Amino acid sequence: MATDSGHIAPRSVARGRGGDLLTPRRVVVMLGTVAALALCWRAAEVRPALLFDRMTLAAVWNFLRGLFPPDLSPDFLRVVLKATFQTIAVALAGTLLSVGIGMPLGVLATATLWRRGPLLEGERRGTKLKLLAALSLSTRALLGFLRAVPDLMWGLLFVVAVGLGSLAGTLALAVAYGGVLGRVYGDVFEDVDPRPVEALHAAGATRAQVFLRGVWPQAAPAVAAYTLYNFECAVRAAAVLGFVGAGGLGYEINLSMRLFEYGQVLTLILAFVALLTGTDALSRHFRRRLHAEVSPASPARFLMEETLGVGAPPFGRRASRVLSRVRARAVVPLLAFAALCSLYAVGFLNGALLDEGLASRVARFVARMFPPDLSAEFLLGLVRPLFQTVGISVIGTLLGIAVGAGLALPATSTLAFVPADAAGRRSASGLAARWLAYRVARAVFTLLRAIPELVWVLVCIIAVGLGPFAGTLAIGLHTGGVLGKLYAETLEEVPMRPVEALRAAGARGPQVFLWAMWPQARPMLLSYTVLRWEMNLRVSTVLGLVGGGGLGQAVYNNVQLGFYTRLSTLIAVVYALVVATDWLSDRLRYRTPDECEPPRRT
Amino acid sequence: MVYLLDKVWKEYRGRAGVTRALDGLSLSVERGERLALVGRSGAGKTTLFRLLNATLRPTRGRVLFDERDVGQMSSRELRAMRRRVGTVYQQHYLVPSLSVLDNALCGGLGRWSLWQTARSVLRPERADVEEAEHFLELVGLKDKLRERADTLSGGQQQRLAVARVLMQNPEVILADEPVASLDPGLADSVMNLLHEVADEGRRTLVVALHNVELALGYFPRVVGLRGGAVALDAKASGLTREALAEFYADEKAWQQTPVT
Repeated sequence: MATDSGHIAPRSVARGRGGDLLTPRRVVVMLGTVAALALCWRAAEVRPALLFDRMTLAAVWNFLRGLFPPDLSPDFLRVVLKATFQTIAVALAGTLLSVGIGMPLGVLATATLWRRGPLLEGERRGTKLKLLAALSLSTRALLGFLRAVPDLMWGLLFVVAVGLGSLAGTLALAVAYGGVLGRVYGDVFEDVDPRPVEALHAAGATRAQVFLRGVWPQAAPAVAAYTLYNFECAVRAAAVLGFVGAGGLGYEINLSMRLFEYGQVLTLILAFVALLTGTDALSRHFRRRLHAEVSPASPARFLMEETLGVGAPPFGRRASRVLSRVRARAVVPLLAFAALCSLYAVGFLNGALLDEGLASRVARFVARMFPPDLSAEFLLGLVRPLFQTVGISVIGTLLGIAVGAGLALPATSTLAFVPADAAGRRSASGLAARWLAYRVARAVFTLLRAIPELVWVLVCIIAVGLGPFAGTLAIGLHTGGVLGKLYAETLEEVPMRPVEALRAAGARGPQVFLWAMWPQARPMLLSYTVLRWEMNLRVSTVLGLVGGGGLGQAVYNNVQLGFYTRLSTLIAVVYALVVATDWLSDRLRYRTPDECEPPRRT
Repeated sequence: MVYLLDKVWKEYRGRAGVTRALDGLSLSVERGERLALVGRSGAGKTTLFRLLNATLRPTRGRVLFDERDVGQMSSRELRAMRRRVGTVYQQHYLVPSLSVLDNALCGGLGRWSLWQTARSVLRPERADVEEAEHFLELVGLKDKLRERADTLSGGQQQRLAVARVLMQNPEVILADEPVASLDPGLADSVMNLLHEVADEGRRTLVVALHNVELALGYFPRVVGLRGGAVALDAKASGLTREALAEFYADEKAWQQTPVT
């Protein structure tokens, strides 16, 4: 570093001097990155020229024209309503079952109950304790596996195992989100204040009693809040699961797409967006209440604020408590009733199904997946789709960055609008143009974000045909919406004093951005982007299920052909790929410890 | 004899290497005895307490409770022993989101079955509630039954911790700096309360204290720890304030000693 002896320059300054910008190491890293990007570009089969082809434009125009007017005929609305209810039922039943799976696994995975901490420090380390510790560790690994395999992949597996319909969707949600919830529950249980736990333990309470009276009361609000949040995700996933044959809105969207009934597609998408908005508002409302119940000193509260982005409650804590207790009494039977209905609706309480033996059907399917096909021929054939998947995720994310970053600037209110009391003249037309650009950019984000990647794939297939390019575009569009909104919000939250200082010194908009906003927001922006790439990689493993290329294509083909032993190999490959990406993304994000870590959002 | 500690060592393995918290400590405590434990922070008081209530195993050496070796006990026997030893911790050892009444009831966990515990979450038994209410009245918290524990002041939390121990009905009461965060008036009331409680059932009382006045004023026997071993063990009547102050002033080796 180019610093004077004994004087530590701020890092940005040290970097800016640039005397040793081109260290051999950096050159190697840069060249490597360029080569990797070129490989990804090739693997994703990107053909920009195709986008401006006359045929493509005609197809897109045809599609857009077909969307209007949306199909609002009573017959079709009935279909939409039914599909919406089916989606809700699948999401509810799936969440319920995932709690049933996640809770016991989460308790088992909790390190402070079985592996370390005050509960174990006084015990003799006998065989029994060692076995329990090993069981706890392997539960954690199992949860990791359940989480790593994408929900759509689980959906396809259950469709094969138990047949088309909402039951398969429910089971897929139960397993995938059981893994997510188990992990989260375990983390919440581990993060409770250990001191009360130790006190109960010292008073002679058993482990179960300690959990019931020491851990659970501290963890309950966070557990409830996460479960609600999870339900929100489950609604989105339930809709998308329809694409692999699990019923609901996704199934109808897929069907209408294939029938070229674009007016129906628009109606269905509107219903989907309305459903998501409704669930989001409801869950946010309850989560805010739960947040108030968590003790201010508890680490769980911090955890909730970090990951859920829940602010302070609108009312005082004391005042709302009696009321919330009364409501809680009413909510529980209501929830139980809704859950029973949903379980019935997806066919879980159906006597015939239980007679047929759901478990035995699943077991037979699992048995047919073993032993995994490890023949050299098959494994070599996987190299290409593997590269495709990585290529789709990387180029798709880059495309998303371009779209998001380009639109984020006009969408950042602190950049787009100058305070009303700022000195100087301003023209009405200039203000109007800025306002319009801001509104348009925000609207585009909402549109891009609201439509799931899989729907985008279908749209892109209309434009550029089947294959990885369609998948790449789909990821790029959805990611553009997600990242654009995050970028704009991050820039808005940057401390404003340096910005004001530069403005006062006469800096213009772009200068203010480059010198006051970008340096402050950089670590957060970087972190959000890497996290999004991690998620995109998961998505790009399943895009192939609807024709977007990559490993999903191989999965789909082998399911169609009934090569189930290859399916297990493919699942293992997806698992390994996701684990490797998680590791890489963690490394990229934690590389600089002095830079803050943004909340993890899913 | 309630406790007999015979050359006990305790070492913690951490990232910074091994730290020795207890260094060949030997101590015996008679049934019904009142004992003040003094020493600087890091002298090993908290570690000693955790050995006495069997939530920690020594690295070497033996701890005898009621003439039985704690190291040889099964987990069932350990639980039975923990039930007979009540601990009043420093602040923040209450379950913050539970009510005052529920926290007091937690003292009874050791003698309840899991089923009873589960039922008590919804509706505790009449007799238990009455007992807990009696103890809460004793410590002056009768009017706060339904409040959450984390809304109480420091002094009230400390008294609630005493009520929880009363509910446990132990033979030995350990208190780890129970008055550290209280003003002098409250400190006296908590000390008096502990003694009243101990008098009632001829219980053994071991209290860790920072305050020299309180140690001399309330306890017939004072044990001083330094560097993880007993450096002072005397009758309070034979101890002058100056001698104790000198013990505290001695800077040599009162910190935990890094081994590697």
